[in-house]
Amino acid sequence: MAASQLHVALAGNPNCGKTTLFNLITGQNGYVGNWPGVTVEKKEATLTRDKSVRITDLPGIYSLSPYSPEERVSRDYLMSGEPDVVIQVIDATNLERNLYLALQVVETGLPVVAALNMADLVEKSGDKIDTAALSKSLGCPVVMISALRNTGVDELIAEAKRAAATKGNVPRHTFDSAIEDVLSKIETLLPSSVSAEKRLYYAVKLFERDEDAARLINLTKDNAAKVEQLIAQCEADCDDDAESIITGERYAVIAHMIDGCLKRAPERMSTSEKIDRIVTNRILGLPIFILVMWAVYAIATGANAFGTAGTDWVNDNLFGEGFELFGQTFPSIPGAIEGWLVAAGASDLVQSLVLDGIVAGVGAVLGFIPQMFVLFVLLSFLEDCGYMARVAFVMDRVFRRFGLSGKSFIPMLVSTGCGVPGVLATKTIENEKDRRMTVMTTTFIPCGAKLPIIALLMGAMVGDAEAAWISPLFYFLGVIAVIASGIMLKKTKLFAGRPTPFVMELPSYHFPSIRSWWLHVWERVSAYIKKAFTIIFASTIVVWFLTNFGVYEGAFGFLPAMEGIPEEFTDYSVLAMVGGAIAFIFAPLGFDTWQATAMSITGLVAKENVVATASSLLHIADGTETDPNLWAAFAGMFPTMGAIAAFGAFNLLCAPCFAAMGTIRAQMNSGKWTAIAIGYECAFAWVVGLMINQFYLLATGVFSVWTVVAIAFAAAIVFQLVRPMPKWAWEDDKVSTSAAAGAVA
Amino acid sequence: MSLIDIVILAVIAVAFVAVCIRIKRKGSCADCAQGGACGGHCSSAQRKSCPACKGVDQVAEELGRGVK
Repeated sequence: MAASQLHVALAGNPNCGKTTLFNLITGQNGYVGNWPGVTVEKKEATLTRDKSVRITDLPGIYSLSPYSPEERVSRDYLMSGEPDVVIQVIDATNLERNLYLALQVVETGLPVVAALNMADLVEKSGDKIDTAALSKSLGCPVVMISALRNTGVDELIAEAKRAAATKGNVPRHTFDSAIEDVLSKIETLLPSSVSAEKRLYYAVKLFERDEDAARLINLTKDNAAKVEQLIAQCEADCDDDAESIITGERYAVIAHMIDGCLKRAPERMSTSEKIDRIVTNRILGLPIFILVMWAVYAIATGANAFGTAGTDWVNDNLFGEGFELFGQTFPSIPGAIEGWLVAAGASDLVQSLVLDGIVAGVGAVLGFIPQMFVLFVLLSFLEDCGYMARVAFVMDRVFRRFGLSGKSFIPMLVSTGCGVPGVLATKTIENEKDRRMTVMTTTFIPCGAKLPIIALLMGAMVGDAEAAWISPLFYFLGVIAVIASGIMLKKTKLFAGRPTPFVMELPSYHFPSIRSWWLHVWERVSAYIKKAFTIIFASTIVVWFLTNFGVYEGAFGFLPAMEGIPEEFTDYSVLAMVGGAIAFIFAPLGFDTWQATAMSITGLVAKENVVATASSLLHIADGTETDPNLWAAFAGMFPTMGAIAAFGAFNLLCAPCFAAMGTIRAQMNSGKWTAIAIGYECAFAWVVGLMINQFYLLATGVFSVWTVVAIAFAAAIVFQLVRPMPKWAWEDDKVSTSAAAGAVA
Repeated sequence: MSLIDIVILAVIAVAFVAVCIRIKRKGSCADCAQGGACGGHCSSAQRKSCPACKGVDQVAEELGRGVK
């Protein structure tokens, strides 16, 4: 990093638009979520137009007194001495709350520029902000911007550069004279190593009894006692505790500032408030969410729906029979490659590897891109317009009823894209038990990689029939698994305790900018394509090798070339040996074939592998010749519809991919807890699969010992769900941030 | 085995090794940039900061402990 670089930190409250601004000025496409807690680590990049300016996007925080890991990350960076200037991003539609942090950042003595974001929404509401007056009272330059509409941003950067040049010269607000008197006395007790511009900050922090700050400046025992005496005297005079005194003082300053700079438009109900009266309604909120998600999955993956039509075209033409364009006939991709291999004189082994292994496996995954695209277009719109933030609010009400925290729902929202960031988002949950429980359950939500499994199941179960309700059902299976697990686990000693309070600001509804919407969709779709050509490509080669090589009559080799080998040569393969050895585990679930077991195992590498392996196995076994479409051939691998559903439930709910498992290990910071999490997920998935298959068989008149086991499990689950919360479960638990801080580090 | 077979197999082998090295360096996930924890451009130096890679390494170490 060049020494002459200018370091600019972006600080602000959660969901005030820091990452949108960061993306705009750096050209990055970091994930922007319309709910708090999306950025849990600081991110760095250089300014697009000036590479000498380095921008750091900090996690959103409400104050510089760290209660949560992300607040610690932000404060530590601000006080590290690295930033030359801080751009304090303020949600201009919510000045009062945002100024609380702004005042504290100004107190740090760092050069600050306040960026009043969402200027467009302020204008729309009719409010008027006098930036000159605010600048004077806040003691730093103030610039109105809209990161979404790209207005005022150039001026903001210019101001930041100017402010950085005036290092250490920050005017400040004043508190009540009695408090100022105490603060100045504390300032005199600070060691001389504390620079002049930071003395006020540390005086305030000591007044708030901030242990981190006291440790950082090495206050002598004698002076610490004197500081404590001053604080105690002030508390007695004000009849309040020190932290509340400072909080009250700050809000008094803010109220004075607002009086001088904000002219509010006459009060009227905004469009967002009108929509929220319905969308977040106590009774209607949940049914609306169910309806919306049902529509999303039905449009993306339902039979004859938009996304499915695209996938059908790709599978039938691009990877099927070929297609016509502008009157010209084009061969399909496998057809073209096969023609080229035959013409070049490639051997059967090479043809099999390329066509049955790589093209079939990678092609099957790529075939689902149209459905993925439609799903991500819809989900990204719901996130960007502000609806998903409401869902977290609605779900908090549901979760709280069962002793869970709405905070646990934020990681689940993130998990609809990928489980890795979903697990990372649990860092914002302060309560260790709640955090562990959320890590254990968040990957139940179907991520993008699980969509091909849902689409495959949908096709296998209903084919072209009009049964749009099937695919949303698998999404809600994930949601129900999260809620049911949460309720059951919360009633155990391992996870008992009061839920963490969940406070969030609801952003105004707005039509997302096309750029950010497209970035969201492209980020997810491109990641899917990238995985197809990397991890899936490698996996298909391994699967092809394991399926085509094996032992027949004591000799190991390429099975199709062995003399006298039966038509079903794959039964002698290495994969058949491995899959067959553990297939008995899935017998009660209705899929004890080595093929289905192999699909489940390869799914642990990456969930898309379930589809890739299915396609590869079916091609090798010529399944697609008798059944022209993959769905029907896949359905033919299972004895009953119940077994297909059980296979789907198991693969959607069992342990996630290796990447997500690795993240769980890093987040849990414990091998034991990782084993508990993965073990619980697999056991829960197995039990759900068992119940689905056995109850399906029971409905068709088949009764066995496994039916009794399934009924026993169902009874145990119902008992754990409905039994009252034990009294000890409500006992207050010590809120611990240490483990989370360890995970952050 | 003909020359074309050797050429095709060599190309596939190189691609396979390249993908394996990429996975070793960057992990198998492609989209954790969403979480704000990874810039999406991991280098081997940054690998230490990738929670997925770090966790996978820890799991591998734990499972491999005592294995000769």
